Amino acid sequence: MSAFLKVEDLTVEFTVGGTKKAPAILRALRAVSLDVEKGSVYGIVGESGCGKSTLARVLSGLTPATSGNVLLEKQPLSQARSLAERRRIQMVFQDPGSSLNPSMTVRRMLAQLLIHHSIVPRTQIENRCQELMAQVNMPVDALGKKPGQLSGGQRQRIAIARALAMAPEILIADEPTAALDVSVQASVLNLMADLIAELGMTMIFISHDMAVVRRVCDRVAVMYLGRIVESGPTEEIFANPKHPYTNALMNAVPRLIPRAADDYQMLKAEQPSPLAKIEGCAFRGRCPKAGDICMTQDPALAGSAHQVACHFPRPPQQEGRS
Amino acid sequence: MSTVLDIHDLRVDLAKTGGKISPVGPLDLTMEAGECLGIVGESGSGKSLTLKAILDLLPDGLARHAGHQKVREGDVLVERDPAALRGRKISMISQEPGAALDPLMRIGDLIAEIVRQHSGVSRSDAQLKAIDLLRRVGVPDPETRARFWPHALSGGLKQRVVISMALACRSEILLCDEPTTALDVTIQAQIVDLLRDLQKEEGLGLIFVTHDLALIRQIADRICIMYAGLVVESGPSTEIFARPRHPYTQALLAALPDIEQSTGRLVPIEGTPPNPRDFPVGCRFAPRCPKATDICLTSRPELERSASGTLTACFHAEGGS
Repeated sequence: MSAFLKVEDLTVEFTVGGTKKAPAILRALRAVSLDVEKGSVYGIVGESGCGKSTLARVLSGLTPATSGNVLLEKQPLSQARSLAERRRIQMVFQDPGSSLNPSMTVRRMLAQLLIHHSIVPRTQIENRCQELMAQVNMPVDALGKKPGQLSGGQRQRIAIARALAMAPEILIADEPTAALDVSVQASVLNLMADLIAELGMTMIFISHDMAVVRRVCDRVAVMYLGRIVESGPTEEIFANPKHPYTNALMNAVPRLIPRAADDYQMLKAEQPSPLAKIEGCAFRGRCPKAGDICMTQDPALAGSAHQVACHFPRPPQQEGRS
Repeated sequence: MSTVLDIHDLRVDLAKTGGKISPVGPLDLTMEAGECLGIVGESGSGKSLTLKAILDLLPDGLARHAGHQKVREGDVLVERDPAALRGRKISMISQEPGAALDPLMRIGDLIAEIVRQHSGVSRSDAQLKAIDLLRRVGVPDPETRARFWPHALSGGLKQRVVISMALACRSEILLCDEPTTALDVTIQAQIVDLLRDLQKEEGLGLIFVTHDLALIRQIADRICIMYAGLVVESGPSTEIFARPRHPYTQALLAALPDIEQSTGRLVPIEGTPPNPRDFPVGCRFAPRCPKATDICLTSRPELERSASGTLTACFHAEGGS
C-alpha cells in the first residue's frame, strides 16, 4: 500500500546568529522520513527541542524545508502552497488562547474561512457553522462568543472546528491537550477520536505525553534531536521498545500503578544542544549502552514495520510488561 | 513521627471583599517530619495559592488568614509568622526556576551569598560550600558551573540550582509548586529522584503541588485532593489511589490516561469548576457530581474519617460510614 502522506529526507536548518562566515546553524530536522497511511493516526513523540513541532509546521506549510520532500498522494507539495493544497492539511495548535483571534466571534472566524476558501455558498454559511458546532459538541450560541468568553477546553473545540471547516484530509494536532486539565483533556481526546472515525481523516498527532499517544495513535515515531530514532505500530513500540531512548522515555513516565521491579535506568544528563555538531549517534552521551561504534557512526533507521536507529537495539522482551 | 507543621483554618481572601469571598479555604494542613505531602487539583483549585499562603507570598489583592500556623522548634510546636519562616525553616521552588535566579549574578555567587546570610562564614568558605551544594544536587562539574550565569543553564539545571539554594538556607521544609511542569519527562524523573533522595538522606520535608496524579502517586506519602479551594479528600497516597472515596477523586482518575492502558474510553468530567465569586452554597462539586442529591445542594459536607484512615468530604462517599 502506498503512503497517503510521504515525507522524504526532510531537513530543516535555521541560522540563529553566529557570524556571516561561520553562522550558527540549528538543525531542527535531520533527514526525517515518514509514511502515513490514509485514515490512520500517526503519533510523533519526543522531548522539547527534538523537532516535532518543526515537523508539524513543515507539513502544514508554515515553515519552509531546507531540503527533502513532502508528498501528498504522490504529488509533491510545493513550498508556496495553493489555496487548495492548504485546505487539505489543517493544523490545531497547542494553545488555543493564542491561536484564535481574540477580537472575533466564533461565527466570524468560521465564516471568514468558509468564504475565503469558497467552501459553501454564502447562503449556507450559517448552516455550516451550526453543523460544525454540533460536530465539536458545542452549543450553537457559542458562535456569538469571543475566545475570551470560552474556557480552555471550549476554545480548543473551536480551534478544532476551525480546522474541520476546511474539510481537510489531514489534521495535524500539535500538543492539542497540553494546556488543558485532565478532566477536559479527556473530552477533547474523545472528540478527536470520534471525528477521526466519523470523517475518515488522517491525523498527525504530536505530543510529549506517552500515555495519550498510546491511546490515540495507530503508529508512533519517536524523535530525538531532529531524527526519528524508532517508529512502528503503537502497541509494538510500547510492548517492545528497541531503542534505549524510547525505553527510557517510557520508563520515565509516572504511573498510576507502580511496577514492582524494572530494568529502568534513569537517563543521565540532558539532550545536547541542536546547535552542536554531532558525530556518531546523537543519543550516545546519555545512552547506557553506548559503545565505540556509537562515537563515530550514526546508526541508520533500519527494519521494515518496526524501525530502529541503534547499533545495539534492545532484544525482544520475553514477558509482556503488564 | 512528629508533626513539624500544623496549620489550622487557613484561608485566602479577596482583600477587597473583606473576607466575604475566599478562593481558598478554610482548610487545615499538617505535616509529619520528613514526609512528602502532595496537593493535587486542577487549575483554579487553589492548590498553588494554598502553598503560597503558607509563606504569605500571595499576589496583590489576596489576603492570607490563618487560625494558627505552628512549626516545630525542638520538642514543641510554636506559632510562627510566615515572614519568620520564609527562606529559613521553609523554602519554596516554583515552576519557573529562572524567576528565582538573579540574572546578573553567577550561580556560585548567588548560592554563596545565601550561605553567608545563614552562617556568616568567610567569602571563600562560602564559595566552597556553594560548590558542595551544587554537587549535592547533582549539577555536573560544579566547579565550572558555579561560574555560569543563570541564562546559560537548562531548565533542569536551573531547578537544581534553586533546590541547592533551599539547602543553603538549611530549610527543613521545601514547598514545591509544580517544579517539574516545565520540564521534559526524563528531566522530571531526575528532579523527582533528587527530591526523594534529599527527603530520605537529609530529612527534608516536602509539600508537593501538582496537577499530575501519576506524578504525585510516585512521590507523595500522603495526599490532599483539592477542588474549588477546599480539600475534598486526603489520606495516605496508596489508600487514596487504591480506594478513592470522593466522587471527584474517582472522576479525576477515570479521566486520566495511563501509559499502561491502550484502550477504553476516557471519562471526562462534565461542566467547569466554579468561580470563587459564585461558589455553590452546598458541596462545591455538587453541580458536576453524578451522585449529588438535594442535601448536597444545601449543606456543605465536612471532612470525615473513614475506617481506612482517609478523610473525605462527601455525603455519599464510597463505603461511607
